[in-house]
Amino acid sequence: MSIRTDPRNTDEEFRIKEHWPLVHLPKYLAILGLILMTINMYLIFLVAPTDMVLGHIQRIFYIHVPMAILSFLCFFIVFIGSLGYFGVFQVFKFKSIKQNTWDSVAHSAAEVGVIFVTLALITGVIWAKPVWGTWWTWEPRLTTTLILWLIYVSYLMLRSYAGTTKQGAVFSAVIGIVGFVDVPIVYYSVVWWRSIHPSAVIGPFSESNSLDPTMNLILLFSFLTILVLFAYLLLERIALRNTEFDLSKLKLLRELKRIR
Amino acid sequence: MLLLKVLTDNHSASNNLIYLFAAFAITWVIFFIYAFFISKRRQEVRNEIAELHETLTTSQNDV
Repeated sequence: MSIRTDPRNTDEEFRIKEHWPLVHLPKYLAILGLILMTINMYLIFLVAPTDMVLGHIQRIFYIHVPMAILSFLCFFIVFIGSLGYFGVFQVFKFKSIKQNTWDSVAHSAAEVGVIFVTLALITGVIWAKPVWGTWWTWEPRLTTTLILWLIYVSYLMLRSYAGTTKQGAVFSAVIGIVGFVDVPIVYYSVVWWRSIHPSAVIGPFSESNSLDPTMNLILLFSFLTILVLFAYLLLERIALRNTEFDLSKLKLLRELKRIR
Repeated sequence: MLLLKVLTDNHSASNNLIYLFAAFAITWVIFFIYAFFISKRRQEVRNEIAELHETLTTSQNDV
């Protein structure tokens, strides 16, 4: 939703225009996500083979891995949005994208990313208890992921305290760029410091044939499902932020009218 | 059906079903609470915008 002032009479006339993708797309994604999630639950619990060593607890991995990977994607979007906020992409085709849009995307992605990394941490500790015998251990993957979580929680806290000020947007964009450095460290932590955390199953350092083909397919389906749900949350959050921005503009307009 | 599958499996030693249930339950509860919170908040803001829009339009017509 955005408020467009009429160029013929900017003081008095205004209309509210809603952007189609942000109005209807989240609804369709939510419906699709629910359908995929139902199928996904069936596949995880009734089709996926039971791990010979870990037993049923291994099924957590079908949500834990996609959540972790998609949190990286969220933080990558924050990184790109923060760079865009500083005008890095002005030289490319994205000149028409406003500074506020970059900021809005970065802020929304950071919030969704924190939700996803929180879920990855929670499912991870629940998996660790029966498998490692402890809820938490200071091994490299867990520690770097916790640091990642703290970085983006501080990003959100800063945004919350700063409100809609430009200074808050600038500082959080700096955190969005600098904080992204931790994402590759989290991914490579299992390669650089071998410890008890299982090795990567996705990406350049994944072990080939480390998974049963059925498990691989179901993991892929889980990834697709959670990707749809992620897109829904992100679009809905961006739409909410834009709507809040429009509300603040309308309130300002009302105050201006009162003064006159 | 899951219970049936579990009972027929031979992995009783590693059937940590309470952890499995907790992981999925917590994930979906957090997910749905967050989705609900965003949708609700968006609807509230949209209603507020509609009210403000109406107020501003009315005051403009009065003028």
